[in-house]
This record gives sequence, structure tokens and C-alpha cells, in this order.
Amino acid sequence: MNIRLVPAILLPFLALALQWVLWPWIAPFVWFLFFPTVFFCARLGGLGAGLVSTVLSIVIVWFFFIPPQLSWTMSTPSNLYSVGLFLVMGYLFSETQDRLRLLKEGVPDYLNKPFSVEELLARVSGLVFSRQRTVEELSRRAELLRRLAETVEKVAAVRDLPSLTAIILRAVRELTGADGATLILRDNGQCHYIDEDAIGPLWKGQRFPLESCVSGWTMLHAEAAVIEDITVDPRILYAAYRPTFVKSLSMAPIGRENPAGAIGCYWADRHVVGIEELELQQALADAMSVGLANLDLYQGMANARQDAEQFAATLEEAQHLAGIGNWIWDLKADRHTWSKEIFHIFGRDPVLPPAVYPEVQTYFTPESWVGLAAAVDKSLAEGGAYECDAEVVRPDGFHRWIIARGKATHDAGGNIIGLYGTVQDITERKRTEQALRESEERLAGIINSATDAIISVNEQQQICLFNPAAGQVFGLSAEEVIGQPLARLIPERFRGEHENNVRNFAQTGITARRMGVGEISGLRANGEEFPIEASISHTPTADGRLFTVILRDITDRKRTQEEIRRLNADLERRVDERTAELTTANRELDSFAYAVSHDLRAPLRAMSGFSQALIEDYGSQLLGEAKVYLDQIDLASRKMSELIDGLLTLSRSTRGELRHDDVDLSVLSERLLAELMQSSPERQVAIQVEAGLQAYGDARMLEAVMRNLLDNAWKYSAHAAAPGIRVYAEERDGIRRFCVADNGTGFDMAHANRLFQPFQRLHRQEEFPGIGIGLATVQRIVHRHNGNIEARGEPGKGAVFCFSLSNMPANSTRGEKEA
Amino acid sequence: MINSKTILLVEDNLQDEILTLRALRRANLINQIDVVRDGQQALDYLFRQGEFADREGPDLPTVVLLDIGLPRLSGLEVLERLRADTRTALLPVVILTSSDEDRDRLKSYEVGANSFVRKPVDFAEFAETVARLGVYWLATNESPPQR
Repeated sequence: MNIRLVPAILLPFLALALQWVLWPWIAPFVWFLFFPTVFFCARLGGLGAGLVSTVLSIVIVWFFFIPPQLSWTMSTPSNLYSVGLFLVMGYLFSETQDRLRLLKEGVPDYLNKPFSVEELLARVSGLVFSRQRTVEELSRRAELLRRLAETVEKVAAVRDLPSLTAIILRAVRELTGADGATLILRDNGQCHYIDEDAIGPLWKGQRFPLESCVSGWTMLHAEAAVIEDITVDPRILYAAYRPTFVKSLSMAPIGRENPAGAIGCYWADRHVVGIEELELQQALADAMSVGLANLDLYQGMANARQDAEQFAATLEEAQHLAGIGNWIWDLKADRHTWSKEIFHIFGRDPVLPPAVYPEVQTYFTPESWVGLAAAVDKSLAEGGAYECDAEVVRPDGFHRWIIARGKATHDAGGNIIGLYGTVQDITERKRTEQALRESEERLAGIINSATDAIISVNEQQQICLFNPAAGQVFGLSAEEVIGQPLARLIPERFRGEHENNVRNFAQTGITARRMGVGEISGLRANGEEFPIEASISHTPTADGRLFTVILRDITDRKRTQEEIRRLNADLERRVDERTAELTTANRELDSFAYAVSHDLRAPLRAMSGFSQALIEDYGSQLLGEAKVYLDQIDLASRKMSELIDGLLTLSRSTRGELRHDDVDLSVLSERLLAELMQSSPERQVAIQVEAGLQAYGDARMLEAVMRNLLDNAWKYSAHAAAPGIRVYAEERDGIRRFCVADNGTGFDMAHANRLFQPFQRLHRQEEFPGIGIGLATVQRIVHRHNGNIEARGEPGKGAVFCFSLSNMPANSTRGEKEA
Repeated sequence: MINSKTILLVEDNLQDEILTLRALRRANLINQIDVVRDGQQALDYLFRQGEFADREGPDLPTVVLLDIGLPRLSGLEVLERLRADTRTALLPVVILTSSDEDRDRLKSYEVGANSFVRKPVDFAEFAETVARLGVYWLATNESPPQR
């Protein structure tokens, strides 16, 4: 083996070791120590060694340093280009060094040949000059390559277009020595001058059609353009160049296929663009292409990250909305992952880690935990899926219902390596189900305990509900009739009509109504027909419409109604009879009273008259007590006349229409008292009449009342030391009462019940004359007004008579009477 | 002059008749006083028909004292007939009765009584009332003119 290859093999590994140690400081410049390595290898070993070290370096760098490290993959295409560049550079180094070595080895040979001094000198100086030039050229190229590599590395690291453009344009000008550089990008059929780096202003920000611009030509042809004289080239739109410094230019496409743009180099003096310049320009255009691809990639990555974040947020929201959280249990790492919604459902603080056994047990009721743990264990053992309801007890004490679902995950070998699953909050559904169940139970309770028969039929008129009351009414059990046609419960002659009615009812849009137009009947199991009262309603269900009939056997009611009607009729007839009897009796009473007033008086007048006439005409001839006897006849007839008058008054007070007048009892009392005072002017009686005693009743009857009461007061106060009569009103239990009080003889309350009976008197005739009919009359009149009268008295202290004219409280009295 | 005036007393009660005539006599009203005992007789007398077809004296009395409770035709029916006939439509008629029924009083005036007087039970009062009646209708009151 050639000894020169030893360093070429060793040095790259040395560089690897060194760069590996220093990598934190060197990164990301992956070729950093390998440039000198190749250089020294070529120096020491010539072309072969240089190439070997170059290849070895590339292999090492590729595997160890180009990201991702320790792999043969590449994250960006720019790295591939840098590999290419390094290869080119390694070759150039090696070849140059080899030439230098050959030159060095040729010099002694040459010196050993006989030369003239001049010739020798000339050749030596020529050689020296040539060597100097070669060295300069080499170092210049090395510098160019170093700059190029540096630029490429910068391009690999750059993340935005302006920085990328600035780096490339700067490098273009530096490496080509051009007076200006531009970056043009193809944009929607136009050349867009993105940026420039030049001694004078060019076309930054402007756009030109692809066809009318040399950059467009470059892009369209994917080929570099070199123009020495812009004034003569047909691809140049000269007008655009006139304001600029440009005399010559070269244009390199960015990207070899379907270029995305171009990089332009411009010279202020006529310049012939060399191969090397064009190569450098093209290399930088390629770097630009890589940079642009990188930017796209970064943008794509950024977009992807953003999309991923947005998706995660959306998922979280969706989980929250659905009340579904998911979890993963990695068995190998024993790592649990919960989505946020699970924390939410369990009421666990999201900053805490997911709850694991045994803590997680506290989140369930014991019964639920037993079921859930069994399901999880089974899934872990057998690798299947599970789904079960569980009741969660949150730390805050609230209970929630969930559906826990889970499934085992397997590795390639079929081993169970974990579980994943979801937790769904179904509390609301559970509650609804609970409420529905309760509601159904309640409804069933009502239906079963209802005293009315409740029957439901489907659209085919088949019975699907038949409650116990219906069973009783029809004499059938639910088992016997469920699924049977409803017609079975309807008398045959009504069946057709009934079916039509139900069908019509379904089309009315009314959801409930009373059944039947006239009377409807049901049919018992024993064939007996009976009257019913029923209402029908319909409700839409999943299986079509459901008709529900609630009906009642009204046999008893019918019978009762009939009985009531019969009794009423009977009662009415009896009332009529009674009324007729009463009318007759009244009429008879009327005739009797009339007769009394008319016919009984005449004989009296005769008795009194003829006894008087006897006294007047034959008084002188009458002997002994004859005159006294005649006087007694007269007296007796007068007395009888008074009795007749009293009877008539009493009779009249209960006969005839009761009129309704407004009566001022104060005025009435004043008038009656004035009459009394006039009739006995010798008496001094203190009169006190309250003003404004408004009463409502029959004016003439009320006058009779007041006249009787005041007459009595007048009469019975005759013996008082200082007689006084008072008329006033008082209110008791909301009822107004009118009172007449005197301070006269009074009466013993023990006899109060006799006061109002006709012809009953509490005083002897010679004490106080009277016939005992006045208070009876007063009481009758008061009673006819729906009022009552009561008397309070005390012997020697006086008496008070109070009466009301209504049994209604004062404020409604008037309205009631009018109504 | 006053003596040419007559009074027709329609009274079925003999006692009342005697007492009435006594009262009128004692008031010195000595005019002719004719007495009939029931409603029909009263009409016959006034219209000169039936048993009174040949009655003497003036066509009509100066005043008729008419009781209500009469046999055959009641006083009120008599009055109605009198008022319905042009000959007697304006004849002064005084209802003299024992009744103090409102309906009698009302009816009397409705059918055209000139006066309504209740016979007092007390004889003295009765005598005075009748005397005053006689004086008033025969002396004080002016009869309607002849048509």
C-alpha cells in the first residue's frame, strides 16, 4: 500500500474526533475541520491522497454531522449541494497540490541539464514568476471556494427571504466582482425584481413581462445568458437599461428545471464574462434555489405546526362540546395521558397528572369501580374492547354518569402494549332517562288507578292499552283484549260509524275532543250495552298515530239524572199545587178581610148609632141604669171597631206587593211626632231624632212601622217624670238598625217574646189602652223586608225597639235588593 | 129652592138607612130623599125604568149617596153605568161606604166618583159627616148646568 495514503486515511478520522468534541462550538459549519484536512492530505500525498481524504471526509461528515446526525438521511437538499461543492473543492485542491509536487520534483532534473546561465536565469525567473502566479491563483480560488462554501452554509441556516436574498446578492457581487446583482423571481407571468445590490439603482420592486426581459428569457430557457454589449443584444429592452450604469450583464437561472427566477450580474464597463464567473454565478443561483426550497419547506413546516395546533385546539373544543375525553395508557412506560375534557368530567385540576390506580378508584362509586375494573382487566388480559356505564364521584362531591370505552393496543408481535379509550359524560342523558322513567311510572300509576276507563288503539284500531278500570267497565281483562280490534267494545250497529268518526278525527288536526255527537254506547263482554261518556285524543308516535279514549260508564248517572228529573217534575207539580192552594187561601183571606172591613162595621155602627139615638132622642125617658147600659153597648162597639181596624192593618201588612222606595226615616219620625204633639199638646216630651236616617223599603209599610213604634213610645212614656223619645240608627255586624227608644214604663224582658204576638198585651187596658196589634204588625213588616226586630226593656226604665230592613251588610244592601 | 132638590140614597143596610135619614133630618135637610136598596133599583130609578118608570119628581136627584157593597149590582158597577150614559155622566155621585180599602177608593175615583166618604163607626161622627155631606151637596155645591 502506498505510504502516502496513510495520512489521507488517518487525518479525516482525526478531524472527525476533533470536530465531534468541538461540535457545540462549530455547529452548524459541518465542513469546518475537513477543509484543512483535505488540504493537508493533498499536500502530503498528492492527488490520490487528496481524493481519498475528500471521499472519506464526505462519508464522515454525511453520517456524523449533516443533520439529522448519525444517519444517512438529509433534512434539506442544500446539504447535498454542499457535498457536491466539497467534492469539487477536494478535487481542485488535490490536483493543484499534485501539480505543485510534480513541479517541485521536475526542478532538480531540469537543473541537472546543461543550460546557459542566461537561458537558465530566464527559465528560472520564468518559473518563479509562473509559480508565484500559480500560488496567487490558487489562493484566490481557495478563497473563492471558501466564500462559496460559507455562503452555502449560511443559505442552509437562513429562514426568511430578505436575509436569503441579501446573503446571495452580496456573495454574487463579491465572488464575481460585478458592479451590481439582482434577484428576479418569476411571479404570475412576470419578472419581479425582488432586491438588488449594486453601485447604482436598478429595477428593485419593478415587474416586467417574461417575454420582454432577459431574466424572463433565462427563466423560460432554463439557460444562462451572457451579454457583453447590452445595446446590441435583441433580448435586451434597451429603454429599461438606459437610465442605469449597466453595459454588460450575465443572467443565471435559479433552478435547472422550470426555473423559479434568475440572478443577474451587471458591469458598469464592457466586460466579457468568464467561465469561472459564470460558474460561480450559477453556483450561487443554485444555492438560491436551494434556499428558496428551504424557505418553502420551513413555511410548510410552520403551517403544518400551526394546523396541528389549531387541530388540537379544535379537538379539545369538540371534546368539551361532546363531553367526550380520551386517554391513552402506555403499558411499557406506564404512562397515562388524559385529554383536558377528562379532567373536566372528573372535576380534577388539569395541572395535576392523570389519576392512576389506586387514586383513580376514588373517582368512582364502589359499584361502578368494580364493574369498570373488571372490564379493564378483561381487556388487558384478552386484548379486546370494553364499554360500560360508570358513576363518577367528583372531588367536589357531585356525581356524574359516564360511558367508559376502551380498547387494547398491540405491537407487531401481537403483545398488548397499552390501552386507549374515551370517557363520555352522559349525566344529562341519565337524568333525562331517570325523569322519563319516573314520568312513565307516574303515568302508569295514574292510568292504573284511574276510575275512568282508558283505552289506547293504534292506527289499525287495535287495542294496545287497557287499564283496570276499562277491564271493570267492559268485563274483560287486559290480556284478553290487547291486540284485538276496538270494534269488540262497540255495539255492532255503531261500529262503522265509529270507525269513520275516528278516521275523520285524525284528519281534523284537533288533538283532543269529546266523543260522539249524541249519546254513545259501549258493549260489555256479556253483550250488555251501556251508555258512556268519552273523550278521545291522538298523539303521533314512531309507529303511527295512537288514539287514546277515556270513557266512563254513565249508566248510574243516567239513572240518577232520570230520577232527579222525575223528582224535579214532581216537586214542580207539588209547588204548583201549593201555590194554587196558597193563592186560593190568599184570595179567601182577602175576601174575608174585605168582608170584615165592610160588613162587620155596619152592624157595629148600628149598635153604637141606635144606642146613641136612644140616648139623644129618649134620654129623658130612660130610667135607672138604662143609660149606662146603652153607653156600654156604644163602648163595646167602638172597641170591636178598633179590633177590626187592627186586624185589617195586620192583614194588609202581609198582603200586596212590597214596593221599594227611598224613605227618610228622620223626616218621617219628625212628622209623626209632630202629629202626636198636636194630638196631646199638654204633654212635654223631649224629642231627639237623628238626622239622615235613610231607609229603603215600602214607604207606606215603613210609615206603619214608625207610627206604631212612636205611638207606643209616646203612650208608654206618659207617666215618666221627664219623658223622652229618641230615634237613631246603630250598626251591628255590618247591618244598620233603626231604633226608637223611650224612657217610659218599659217592660220585663221575661215577657219579651209575647210583645210581638197579636192581641197580646203586657199592660192592663186601664193603664195603657190598646188592642195589642201594633208590634205584631211592625214585626210582620220588618220580616217582609228580610229584616228583624228586637226589643230591650226594663220595668220603669224604658224600652228600645231596633229593627233592620235587610239581612245584608250595609254596603251591599242596595245592590242586592235591586238585583 | 133648596127644597126642590132631591137626594138619592142607595143603601141596602136598613140600620144605616135609618141612621142616615135621621142625620139628614136632624140637619134640617127636609128635601125629598129617595131610597133604593140595590144597584139595579138605583139604575131603574135614575133612568126611570122598570118599577120606577112612572116615578114623579125631577129627572135626576141633586146628588146620589152610593154604597159600594150592594146586592145585584155593586155600587161601583152602578157608577160605571151612570158615567157611561150621557144623561148621568155628570151626575154628582158620593160614595158612602164602610170600606176603607184603598182599592175601593182608587176604583171609585177611577170610574168617576165625585167624592169618597167613609162611614165612621162612631155614631156622633157618622151623624155629623152625613149632615155635612147633605149641606155641602145641596147648599154649597153648584150642580152642573143642564145640557
